[in-house]
Amino acid sequence: MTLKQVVELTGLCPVHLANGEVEVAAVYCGDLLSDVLAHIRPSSLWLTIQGHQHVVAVAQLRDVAGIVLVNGVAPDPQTVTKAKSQGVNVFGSDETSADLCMKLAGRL
Amino acid sequence: MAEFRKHQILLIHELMYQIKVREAMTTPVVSFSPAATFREIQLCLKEQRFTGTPITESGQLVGIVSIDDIISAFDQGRIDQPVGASMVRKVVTVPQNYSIISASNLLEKFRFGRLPVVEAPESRAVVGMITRSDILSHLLMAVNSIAEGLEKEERAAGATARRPHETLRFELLPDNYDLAGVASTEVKTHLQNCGLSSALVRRIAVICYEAEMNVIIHSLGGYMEVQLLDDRVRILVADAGPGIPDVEKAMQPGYTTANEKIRALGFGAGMGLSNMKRCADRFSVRSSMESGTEVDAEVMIGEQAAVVPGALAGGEGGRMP
Repeated sequence: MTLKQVVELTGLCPVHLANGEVEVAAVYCGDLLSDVLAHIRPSSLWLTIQGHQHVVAVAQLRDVAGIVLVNGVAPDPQTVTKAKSQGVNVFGSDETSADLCMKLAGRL
Repeated sequence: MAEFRKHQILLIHELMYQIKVREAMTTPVVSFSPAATFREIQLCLKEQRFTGTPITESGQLVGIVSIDDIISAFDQGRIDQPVGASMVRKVVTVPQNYSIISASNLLEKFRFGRLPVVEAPESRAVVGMITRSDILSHLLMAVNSIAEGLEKEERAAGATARRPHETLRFELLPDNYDLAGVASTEVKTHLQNCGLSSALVRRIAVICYEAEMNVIIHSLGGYMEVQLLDDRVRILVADAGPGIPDVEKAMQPGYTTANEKIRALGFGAGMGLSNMKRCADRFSVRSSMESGTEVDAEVMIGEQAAVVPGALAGGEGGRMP
């Protein structure tokens, strides 16, 4: 499924959409950056409550398809700036990671 | 400079011997019979922008007519007469299998603008015409394609085994969270441009990022050096202290000394060193309370790389410690 289709299916709110045509192959939920670095697969959608700028670097380094800030977490202004400069897709959602995962279960 | 010029001249000279007349000549041949008039030929030459044409009888060369001959015929009132009566019959030719250096020498020697190309030495069968500009344009094309070939080769070499040995160096400032990850991102982009596989680049990126964050969070500042070698990438990270009291303990997953503020950002999970070790093919940490901490990691990128699928989640080419 493309990122654009995932956005439509789950009603994600774009913070910065660099490329909606990328393929989403998996989902990973994690808030500890080292844990995400160690376990997230490339082309994953990353669900997290960390709204700070460091998520952009982690996503970029691991070839993540997009970051979703869940539970209504707002991105820091630097997060938006970095996402734009590095071409990383970032979204927001009021839902929990678990609710979003259930919407995507079996669909990817 | 003299050496460079010598090489240029050698190349052109060599090509002059390598390229055969048949490769550079113009075909098909426009020819006339001896019965054609100078005027007919003049019209054709003007139209085709040629400066001369061979005269043939049943495919065999019997003479040649140039613009100069046509001008003379015009002067002498022979413009509507057949060329057979007054054409040059003794024609200098060049065989098609000769090098263009022969054609060039003949053109120079006789001060001709063109030469009929014959099938073989002693043959009178015309297969083409060759001029100075044919020779020149073919040489230029040959030089150009050699240059393109070299460029391609260089690009291919850059992407595979013969990478230049390079070192990227980054100074890392303590507590500078705004620049955190910048060095690792730059390393990643650079290695991708060098043609390393995405899986290898991601492993190296994780090592760099964890090391970079450690220096920024825990140390008084330091540097990261990434060396791109023939068969491996070496990552050296050193800081100015204060040092890790118990390296063995620090290597244990989950062990952390990070403060609450850092942990709230999702750092300091106590996984950094073990993450680095898992992504590296060779990994060592040395620390002293006097001189600080040094991390030395290597990822094999050549044929010697120990590829064990599934070492990292997602089946990355990696190695399990």
